[in-house]
Amino acid sequence: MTDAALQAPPTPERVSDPLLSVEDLHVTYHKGNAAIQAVAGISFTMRQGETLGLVGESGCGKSTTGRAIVQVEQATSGRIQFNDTEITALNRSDLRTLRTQVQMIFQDPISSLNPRRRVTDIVAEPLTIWKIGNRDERKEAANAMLDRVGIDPYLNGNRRPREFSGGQCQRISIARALVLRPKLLVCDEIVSALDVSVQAQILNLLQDLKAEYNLTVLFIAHDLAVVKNVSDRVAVMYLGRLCEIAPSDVLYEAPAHHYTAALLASAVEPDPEAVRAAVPLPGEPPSPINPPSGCRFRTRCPRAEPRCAEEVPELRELASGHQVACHFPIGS
Amino acid sequence: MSERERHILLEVEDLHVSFATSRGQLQAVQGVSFTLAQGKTLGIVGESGSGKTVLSRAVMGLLPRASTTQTGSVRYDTQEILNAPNDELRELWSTHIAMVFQDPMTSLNPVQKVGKQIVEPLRVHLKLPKGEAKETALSLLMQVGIPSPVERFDAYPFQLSGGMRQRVMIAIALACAPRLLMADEPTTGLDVTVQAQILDLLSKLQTDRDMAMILVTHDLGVVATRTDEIIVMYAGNVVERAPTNVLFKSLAMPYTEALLNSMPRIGNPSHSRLVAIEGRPPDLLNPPAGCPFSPRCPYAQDKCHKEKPPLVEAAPGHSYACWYPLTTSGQSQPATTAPTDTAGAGAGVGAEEATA
Repeated sequence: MTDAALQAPPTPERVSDPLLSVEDLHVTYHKGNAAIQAVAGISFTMRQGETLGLVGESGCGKSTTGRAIVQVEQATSGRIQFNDTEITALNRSDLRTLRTQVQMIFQDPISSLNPRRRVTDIVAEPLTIWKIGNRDERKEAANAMLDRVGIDPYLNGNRRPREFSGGQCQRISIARALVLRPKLLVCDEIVSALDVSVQAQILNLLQDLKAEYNLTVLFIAHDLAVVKNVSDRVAVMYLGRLCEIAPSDVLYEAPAHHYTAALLASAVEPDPEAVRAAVPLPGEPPSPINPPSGCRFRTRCPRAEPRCAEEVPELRELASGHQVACHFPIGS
Repeated sequence: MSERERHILLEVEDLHVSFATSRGQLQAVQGVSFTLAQGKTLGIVGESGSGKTVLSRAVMGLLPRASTTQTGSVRYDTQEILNAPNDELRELWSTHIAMVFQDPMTSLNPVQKVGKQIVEPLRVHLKLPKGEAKETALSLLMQVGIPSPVERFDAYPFQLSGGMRQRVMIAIALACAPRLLMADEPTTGLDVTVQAQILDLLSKLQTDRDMAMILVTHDLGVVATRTDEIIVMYAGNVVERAPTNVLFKSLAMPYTEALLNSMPRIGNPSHSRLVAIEGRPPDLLNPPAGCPFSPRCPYAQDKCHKEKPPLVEAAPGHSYACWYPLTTSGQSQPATTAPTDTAGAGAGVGAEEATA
């Protein structure tokens, strides 16, 4: 990522040609008679080469969104287009082909690797499945990838996942995800189980690889500071819906949605002089089985009015690239 | 200083804890000393494997006796409690020292209603009659901010959210009005807005009750605005200890600096390069001879690899274990002007390392 590309606001022609476009996505789970709307109608686009951060608290549907994009989870309704292909309607074999271009990295680095296999084989497996190259070439490609993520393949290639630390396992997961040279990478809380010093190593590695392989990254996390660090744009979710999308520096400096502002006020900073929010956001998110009418945040919102209960606020453009779903956004 | 005159509630001196493993003795805590005055909050910060949790459990007397070796001294109100028999500890638990654990799901009894779990310490330790105990429990639930406490009294832990369960844990810990509360990662795993609520609740209850608190965490952000003093641990050792505002303003130990620099900040622009600490913490089965951080320290010199620096009090209340501490400008001092053994002997007070 060059500095110029970072600062340039998304121009209309780039937005019109997205790599991924999600439109009115719904994912509903059924539990007994209850329908849980994990994702309740969200739309966004991602252009080639950008990192979109997706933040929100547990249960807001951010992981479900990521899983729907890699089609681990079936969308109940809505469209997901990747490179102009509608992926919610693909048959099995086309879906498998798609997965060479869309890869996911998971939260728990150790349990997402097969404990019985050697790391070289784990990283080479996608190549084996797609019968790319012969055995030696695959091994060489896997070793090169391991080397790139900072695991010495000659010393450690024959070891098994349990012999590595969490940070090293996450490096191996990254190598496995990138060995097929995907276009889109979905990262679901990939650093939340790691210590801060290791977290910094992995975040730096991800930034480098992203530039090197021209990756587009959907970065799902709950940590606001981590998301700001890696993302070009950030989307905030609450109870299955999007509250706000904006370029990261804008979102953190001038949040327009009251939920974004509350999240930022609750974040702890390693600075004893940091001003603490006088009153943190009260209560907890309501149940997604029976969400509030109108704006889903209204039950905890300091600015809620009768209109918020009656009318669902749609995502609308406040400024170029800054969208908010609120009837009474901050600063207007 | 009036702070110094406050009643000392807890005194830990040269505490060593090691575990017997199949590969040898794992030295989890290697000579830690600190004191905590009544009504004060101490933050213990470190990464996984730094010994912070083992330290807090050793102070509580919760480590398994058979496989651990604990030496040194832990005094609560002048009473020696390290290796004390269980019935002696049971007198202290709950009424004097209580603990809030990290995982509220596994720390609560899953098959018992939460009300009963709050009533239990009141009945056992305070010998309250049934009705009175229930009333106290309800008022505790109210104090920790649980809505409709009468209904929640009869709920099972699985019926509550993570934040609510942590509030119940806090209610249980506070039931018998302890004078010292140990909170081991009380907000890890909770959402940020809930974390803020729980931390505010702990601060409020602590002030109301003039209770001392030890906040054990991996997150420097959690302790920054909520503690009086901070201990930074690395590989079983205290590497720096200072009043909170001093630590963040003029940290001296390169590890503390590295830990702070590796954290992404909300205030920094997006895509700021993080300063990662390369490498890994040392193997505690064979701790290195010199400074435990020296293999990863960007300022390390020959001496750091050979000799372990003692924890020295360099300024009132501010101690650190480093041969070449950082100055406020963030630069390491040249070797010739570094406070070495002479300075250490001069300060004296804080030289707590067990280096015979």
